[in-house]
Order: sequence, then C-alpha cells, then structure tokens
Amino acid sequence: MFDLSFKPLRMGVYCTLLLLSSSIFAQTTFQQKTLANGLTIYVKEDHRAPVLITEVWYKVGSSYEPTGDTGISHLLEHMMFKGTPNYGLGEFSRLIAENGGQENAFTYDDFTGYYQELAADKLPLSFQLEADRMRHLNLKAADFNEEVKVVREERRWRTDNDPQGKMTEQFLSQAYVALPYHNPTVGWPADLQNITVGDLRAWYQRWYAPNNAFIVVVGDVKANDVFNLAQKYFGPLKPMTVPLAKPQQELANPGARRINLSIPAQVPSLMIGYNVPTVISAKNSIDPYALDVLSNILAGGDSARLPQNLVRHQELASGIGINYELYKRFSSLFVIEAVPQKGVSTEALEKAIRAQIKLLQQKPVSAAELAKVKRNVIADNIYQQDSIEDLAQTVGILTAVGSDWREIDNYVEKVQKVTPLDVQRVAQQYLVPTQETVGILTPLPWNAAAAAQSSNGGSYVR
Amino acid sequence: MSVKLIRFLFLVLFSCSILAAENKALVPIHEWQTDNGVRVVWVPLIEQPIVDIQLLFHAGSAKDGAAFGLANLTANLLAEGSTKLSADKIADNFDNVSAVYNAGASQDATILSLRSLSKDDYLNPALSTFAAIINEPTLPQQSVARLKNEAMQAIASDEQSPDGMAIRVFYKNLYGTHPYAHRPLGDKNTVQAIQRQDVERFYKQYYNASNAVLVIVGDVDEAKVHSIAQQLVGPLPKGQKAAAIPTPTPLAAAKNITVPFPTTQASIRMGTLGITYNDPDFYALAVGNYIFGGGMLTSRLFQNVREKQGLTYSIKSAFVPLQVQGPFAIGLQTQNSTRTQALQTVNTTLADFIAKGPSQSELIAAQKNIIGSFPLTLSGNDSISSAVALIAFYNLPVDYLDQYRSHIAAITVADINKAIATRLKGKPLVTVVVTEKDKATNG
Repeated sequence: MFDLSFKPLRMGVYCTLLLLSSSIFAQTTFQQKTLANGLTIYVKEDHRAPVLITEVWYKVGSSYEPTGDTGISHLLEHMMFKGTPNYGLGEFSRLIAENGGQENAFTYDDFTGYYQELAADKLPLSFQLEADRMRHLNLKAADFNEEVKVVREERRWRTDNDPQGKMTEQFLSQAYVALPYHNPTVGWPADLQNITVGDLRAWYQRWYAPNNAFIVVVGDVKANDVFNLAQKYFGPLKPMTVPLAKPQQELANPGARRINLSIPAQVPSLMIGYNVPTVISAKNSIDPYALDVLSNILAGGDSARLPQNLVRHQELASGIGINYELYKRFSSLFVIEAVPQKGVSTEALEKAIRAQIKLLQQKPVSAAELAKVKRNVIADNIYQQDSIEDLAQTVGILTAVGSDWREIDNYVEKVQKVTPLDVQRVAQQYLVPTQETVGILTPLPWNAAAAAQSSNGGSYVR
Repeated sequence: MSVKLIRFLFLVLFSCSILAAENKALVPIHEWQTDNGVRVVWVPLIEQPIVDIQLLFHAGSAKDGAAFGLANLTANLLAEGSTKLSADKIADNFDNVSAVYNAGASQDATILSLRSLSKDDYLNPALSTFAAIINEPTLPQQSVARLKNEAMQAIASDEQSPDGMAIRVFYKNLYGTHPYAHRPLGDKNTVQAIQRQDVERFYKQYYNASNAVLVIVGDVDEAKVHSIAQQLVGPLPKGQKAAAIPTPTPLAAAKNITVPFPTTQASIRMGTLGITYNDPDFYALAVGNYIFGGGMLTSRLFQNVREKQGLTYSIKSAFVPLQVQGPFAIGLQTQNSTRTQALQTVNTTLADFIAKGPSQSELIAAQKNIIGSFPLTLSGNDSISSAVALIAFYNLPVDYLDQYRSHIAAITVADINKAIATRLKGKPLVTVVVTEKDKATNG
C-alpha cells in the first residue's frame, strides 16, 4: 500500500526483534563523515545490485512536541512534499517517479525520515532535492489547509475507526506517565484542528537544519563519492541553533493503571504493559537484552511459551504477541497483546498470562529454551542480510535515539551473554504491579444483524 | 518497531554484469518434472546462505465449494500434527533450527512455504518436518475445532474494520455466485459448519502431484535440489488436476450498495471485472492504471481526490490479475460527510480517463517509472521466490521477467485507449460505501 507519510504501528508484534536482529554478525561496518555544518553521512557499500536507498533523518518527532501541538512533526512531514521556490508543487515526486524511483516518508516519536530507492546513478537527484527542501520549504497556507484535511483523514483511518488502533492509542496515553510518548504521533484530534501554518513554519525553522539531520545511504555506491556529493549539495546549508533536547525520565513508581475501553467492535482484546528501560536509559546495561530474550521465550515463535500454552493447549487466546522497543531516547514498554479465543473472557486470558509471568519469576528458563532464542537471533539476522532497507532503517533509528551503527553487532553479542538468571531477574524486577498498565477492549453491542445482512448483499441499495 | 512496512526491492543476487548482459536471463530458472508429475522450478542463488521453498497447489478458496474458508483452514491444519509428530513437536522442530514455516490460501492457490538456513544441520531437520506436514498430516479433530474458532475471530476482526467490510461486500456483489465472491478466510457461518471430513476430503482431492508446483530458490546445488523435491513431493499421489475455475459473468447493471456501520469515516470500494495474467492487454493496462490510479503520489486519482481537495489519505486503483478475471478496483476512505463529493470526483476522473485517455507525456512518465524501478522489484531471495512462483503457477512465459521492460516500453497511447475502452467503457460498476447509518439512509 502506499502511504505518503505514516505513523508506524506502535504495537506491531515482534517488530523490534525483527528489525534489530536484522543486520548482524556480518561485522556490519558503516563509513561516516561529518560535514562542517554538522550533517553526518553514513554509508554502507553493497554492490550486489545496481540500486541504492538513501534516507534523510531529522532528530524530531512527536516526543519533541509540546501539548497543544501534538502531531505537528507529522504534519510537517506531509508538507515537505508541497514544494519549494525551486521545485513547485508536485515537482519533487514527479522527478523521483520519472527517474524510476520509489519514495516515502515516516514520522515516529523520536524521528522523522524521508527516503528514496533509486538506480545507483541517481543519487545526485535525491541529494539535490533533499538539500533544497531541508531549508527552503514553501509552507503555503493554501497547501496547508488542504493537507491538514488529509492528515485528519489519516487519523480517522488509522485510529478512530480501527478498534485496535484506538485501544493502542489510549493504552499508550496511560502507560507512559512522565514521558512524551504518551502523545500519539498523528496528534490528538483537537490539535489537528488548531495547529496553524505559522506553527509549522516555526517548527520547520527550529528543527530542519543540517546539524539536526543525518543521512544514511546503502547500496551500489562508493562512500567517497557519496561524501563528495553530500558536500556539494548539503555543504552550503548553514547550521542553526537547535534547542537542546532535555533529558526526561519515567517515574520510578508510576503505579498500577487500568483502562477499560468500550467501543463498537466485534473482537475483545487485552494489553498488559510494563514500564521498562531501553538500551539508552538502562542503569544495568544487560537488562534490555535480557528483556528482549524474555519476550522471545514468551512469544518468539510457535514453540514459545504463550503460543504453545495459551493458544494450543489451553485454547484461551486466538492470537498473542509481545512488543518491546529496545531503542528509544527515553525508556520503553514491554507489552503483551492478546486476542481471546472465541467464547473466552478477557479475565480468563489475563489470569493465564499472569500465571505465565509468575512462572518466569519463580523458575529460571531452561538452557534449551535460551539456546533456541540465541540461535534464532543469529538466524533472523542472516535472513535479513539481503534487505538493504532494513539495514538503513536500523542504523537510522539507532542514530536518531543516540546510539549508533556499532550497536547492530553489539546487540547480537549482548544477547549471547544473557543467562537464565538474568531473564528471571528482569522478570522479577520489571514485570510487577507498580510498573503495570492493563488495557481491556470490550466490544459495545454491535448491530450484527445489519452488518451480516449487508455482507450478504446490502441492506440498503440505492 | 515497524518503521516501514513496504517491501523493499533490491536485486540482491544479480550482479551488475547480469543486468548489463541483455542476453542473459535476469533470474536463472531451471525446471523439470518429478516422476509423479510435479512441476519443479529451481533458481540457484548462492550469495545468501538461505533456501526458500514454496509448494503451491491449485487449491485456493475458489475450490471451497459451499464451505467458504475450507482451503485456508485445511492449509492451517497441516502443522497441527503428522503421523509421527505432534503440533508441539512440529513447532519445536522448526524453531530449533530457526526455520520459518507458513501456510495459507489465496483465491487461486494453497501456498506452503519454508525458509531455512542452507547449512545441512539446519536445512535437513527442517525438510523432514516439512515433508511430514505435506504428506502425513493427521488433521486432528481437536485442532479443527480450535482453528475454526481462530478463523471466526479473524473474520470478526476483518468485519469490524470499515475497509475489511467494504472489501467483503465488494467481492460478494461483483462476483455473485462465482467462487471469487467470498474471501479466503470464509464467512463466520460457513466456517462454523465445516467438519473434519470436509477437510480430509479437500486434502485428498487437491494435495496431489498433478495439482502442485514446487519452487526452490537459494543456496542449494543440483543434486541437493533433486533430493529435496523427491523428499517433499515424491510421496504425493499422482491424483488429478483440479477443474478449471469458471469464467465470471459480467455485471448486467450497476450496483450501488450502502452498508450502515458505526464509523466516522466512509470506506469506498468500486470497480468491475478486470483481467488474468495472460490477458493480451496486461501491459497496456499496467501502464494505463499507473497513470489513472496506480502511481504513488502522481496518479490522476491521487491528484484530484487527495492533492486538490484533501478528501482522503489513501486512494488507489488496481487491476488484480487472477486465474480467471480478477477485479479492477478503486479504494479510498473519506469522512462520512464528504463521501458524495469524493465519489463524484472519482467518477468524473474515471469518465474523463475513459473518454480521453492519457496524454503522451503521461505515458512517457509512466513508462520511465515502471521501467526505471523494475530493478527494485526483485528484492532478495524472498521476492525472487515469489516472482518465480507466480510465473510457474500461472504458466507465464519463462522469459516473463526478461521481457517485462520491453513490453512496457512498447505500449502506446492508442494501446491504452483501446484496452481501457474494452475493459471499462460502458461497463457497469459495483460501488460499495460503508458508512454511518444516518449518512447511509440520507443518501
């Protein structure tokens, strides 16, 4: 599907694992250079095919936004396609398309990014256009007035009319207490009514500068050529004074939280989340890796504990997964998401999940289970070696949150060091009531008869 | 963290030299038949220590009969037990060697896939488990009941989304009594009614050598690939090729259907019958559709509905080729109050495109994009495996990938006009609008 801009699903299952187990153990090495204006370029040469991916990342996203302006980073991302004095409305996309390129952009809490995939000789086109819109965006009121409507439609589509999207948004709004991650990247509905083009101009001036950006290029290129091209196109841009990002911390004891959401839906669902550290925020550096192993012990494949016990043996869940992002600027969440099996209550399912957590706290995992997870982390990496996109994306995220590409190999090494006692300890330390948020989606009565009738031919034919 | 979900498109295995050498095949496809008649297609790729295997049967949801959802349920039941292995053991066996197994049905095919590392101590255990699943499934009663419940939950999840509902109603009304009218997941009541003996009958009827295509892509040599084929599909009975899917009947008259739904945003699907992979207008319509509604950020639909009026976030059109005529469909979402305005714009844009066709400059821009981005469309082993499976399953010419760009380059404005006139001019459309009840009844 095509998305001009999009808010990644924050609760996609296994995503962190897939992403970060993606590029390792091949001794991943990037070449990097920082221009005088502060723009850093990271390059990985990969000559298997005559293509490349190039991504421009800005260190700004929804976690930088003040209340009242939520969604402004994502709105700006949309406006980045609306032209400059040099390239009018639609020119950017027309040029990329005619040169055989594919492009898109993404906004999340800690970053905003723009990318093109192109034939290997088309990098100058990308750099010329990206350098231009880094500092010379039009941001016309008339364009904004149309585009903000598009973003409101995007919000209706992703969140307001998707029961699970709505559940996730409200869950996160409670699960993060002192951290700005409690705001949705797409923005709260009222803010999408009130943000002005003037606000966007100020936001653009504040954050879109070479010293607050970096570039990742992976593909059939020579690093020195890329550095020279970057100097040619981005070198002339002046650095700006960028606000200092202030350190923020989650509460030590945010307390047990519980949300019951009743909305029109057909399927109940359950989320149980815990406030946990990231690789950036952890006081004990092994903890995020041990938590990642823990998530795999529970849900990293059909033979993992939750699918085996709760889906197959006890028939309490029709689907279950875990999301844990190890790489964010601040701390993170460890979230178990589950859909009850038909006819099973969310209470019964919640109880069974708690029993599984308790087991992990009481008894160390077996050597065989741990070995399986460690093997799979390495294998997943090999499987994804051929995805140049994954590599670029991983390096981008790591850099945007304050780590760097060296973490790709470090991740695999750290996972190999995790012991059964580490896993037990993090289960005891973090999966506790004071760190817990539970979200329950209870479907409101649905006009099932009308819906069924419609799907059999339409209840109302004009 | 799924930052981007779009699949990426890199030619992992072909070096530049292969692309440059025009006479050489883009993808080195080898094929033969096993003794019992299974068509095997092998693409050796040695750069990654990975093997991708796909086993396809002409046993998609179009073969469900009245038991909508049967093909998909059968595929999902295979890993629930074999004569020698329990479901837990099967899951363990795959996970222990980091193998990734998937099963499911589309409208035309049942597809079983395995991804494994190519080293023998990983690959061999994965293969023997895969072979057991294919050839000796026990289809246990307890699992039939459980997977039916899981399928019904998945259907409910589909039906609670305006898009999911719109797609269901669109297919139902476009195809009527044709077997493409239902989704591969099936309907709740039809899934509920499926019995174990239905599954067993489906397995016996369609999981046979005459009905199968095996695709093996990756780091295996010729001797190994023959032994893999023998191990996986050698035991399959010869059986009979599945009967052809009937040709769908074109709509006699336009259908406008409004589905009342608790939503603040209307989901719209509209369209008519489209094409097969072997359609003579395949390339003309690929280019024509790119211009009309397929081209990301540049198409006429995108410009008219999103860029000029801000009525939608996502809008797209597609000809979906299938074994027999798949749909031509347009999809979008817009808030309930602007659905009439959006529909009018789509209809005007379509009428204008049918009447006047594309301009020469639109044609050139489309060809440049489709041809220029072609190298991106064969990504790693995974997507090469998918492309080759498509060629094998639908009996496309073996040089399909090699010739793709020259076919696109040869298309003229007149070709597009002729193809669009044949396919879309004067054709009645199904239009489905899933929207809030008040808005629905107010028209």
